[in-house]
Amino acid sequence: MALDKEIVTRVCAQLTKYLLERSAENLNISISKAEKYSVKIVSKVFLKDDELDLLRSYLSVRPQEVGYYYLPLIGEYGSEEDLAVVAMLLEELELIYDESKHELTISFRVR
Amino acid sequence: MLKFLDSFSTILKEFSSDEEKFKALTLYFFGWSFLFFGLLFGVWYPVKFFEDLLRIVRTPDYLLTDYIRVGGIAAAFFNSGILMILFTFILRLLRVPISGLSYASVLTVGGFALFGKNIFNVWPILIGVFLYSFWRREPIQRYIYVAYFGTAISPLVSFVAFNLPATNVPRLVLSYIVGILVGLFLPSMAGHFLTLHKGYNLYNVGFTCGLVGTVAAAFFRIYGVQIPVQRIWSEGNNVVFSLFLLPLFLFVIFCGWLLNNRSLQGYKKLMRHSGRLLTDFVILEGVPLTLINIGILGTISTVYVLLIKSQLNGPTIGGIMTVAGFAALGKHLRNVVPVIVGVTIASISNSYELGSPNNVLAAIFGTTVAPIAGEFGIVWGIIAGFLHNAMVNNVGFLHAGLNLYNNGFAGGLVAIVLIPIIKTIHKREDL
Repeated sequence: MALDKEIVTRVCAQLTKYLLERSAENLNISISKAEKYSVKIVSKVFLKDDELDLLRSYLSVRPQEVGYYYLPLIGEYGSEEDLAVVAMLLEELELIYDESKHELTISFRVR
Repeated sequence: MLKFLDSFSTILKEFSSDEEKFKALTLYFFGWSFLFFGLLFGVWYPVKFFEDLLRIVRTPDYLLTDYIRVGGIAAAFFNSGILMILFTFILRLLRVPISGLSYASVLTVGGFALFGKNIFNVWPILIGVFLYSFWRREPIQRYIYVAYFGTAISPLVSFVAFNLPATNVPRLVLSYIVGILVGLFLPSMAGHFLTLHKGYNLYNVGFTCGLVGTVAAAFFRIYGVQIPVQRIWSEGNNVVFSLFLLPLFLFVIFCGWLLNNRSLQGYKKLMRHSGRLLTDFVILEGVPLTLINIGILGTISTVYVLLIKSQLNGPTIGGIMTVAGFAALGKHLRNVVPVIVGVTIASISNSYELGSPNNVLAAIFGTTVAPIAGEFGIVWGIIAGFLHNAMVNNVGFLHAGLNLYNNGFAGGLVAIVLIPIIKTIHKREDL
């Protein structure tokens, strides 16, 4: 599989697992490809403040080449720490959480 | 005293305002400390110092070869310090962001440069990995840590260069060709093996190099080249090395504590991580807490060696430095202690003496399986440690000591065997 396709697949799987483990009620993934893959994940999920902070801190990791080497680990086990590796592979990552609706929107583009 | 503390704290905070520079500085600090410590002993006898250094380079350095016994304290620590400095410099040169991986790799290289890696035998592996990235047209930053950890197989280079039955020049050329070839295939293999142990063995490249070493040793043996067992182990330097290591690690804790607003706040949170690959504490918890963790684990490992009446020497200091390095990449008190307890229980009951090289090295390096304790709890950590002690004393024959990370190889096998068993007993499916 081409690297960008593999990244999209694994990253979406990793984020899906993370959200389902936090009892996400529904989850929609929209993937589109122009020059690069763009992904938007919208989920109805209840996140506590510390969980949200943790997610933000994981996803705020800046892009790093070494993330590609650890790609095989992503998406398989859903360990929280892997989200930091996820962030290394993405760009223009945005995370919005509407506390009143318990709606989480994560959007990003594969580097 | 308080005034000194304040002014030192101000200086430290000024340095840490440029975080990337500060992280590199802390890495350089370890390298320079080792280098100066070595020069302290060697500067008085320069001719002997260079002869010792040459002896370190020329000695077959597959396991177990203590450079302190081979070349003395000065040359061994110089070799270690200069490699840490050069490897940090390369990271800076390539503009690689300094992370937990950087600490783990540089400190591990520094540690193993006291018993197997030297200024001659590490470069072909690096060249091979560089060629791999060039050939794949991918940035070297992607594989630089594979190159660093991959130097575990560098005794293979020395073995070919100085032990094969041939004349000098062809042997030297062949040794570099072999090293480059191994480096060329290492990134692909290491990536492939990551999923075998599912990240529960922290020394993944060690596992990979174990398999490479096994293949190499098998070839040597079928063509009649024997690799004799060797155990070069220095003794009697506990006082001098304690006086170097303990202040070094306490200073690191002190700096972390100062930068963390003179507190240990957040350390409990750091210990909540299982430690599985890739738990990068520099990224996840920041530099101050990582420094505290490095200092604590370094101190505890040093004290452990002294407590069981073993020896502080090249291999054990190598182990201590590796634990300290991986304190930035997954290891912490909660997941390390159960494994050490497990190895120690096995050490007390097995046929070797408690403080023998077999047992002390298994305890320190055995913390490669710390993530098992971090994820599944104390009991499984102890079992993993116990199992590791048995495994590590038996797999060395396979690669004939050509892989320096023998514990990484054994740890990988422990994880491969143990995880499905844990899965069966716990009925967990999320593994």
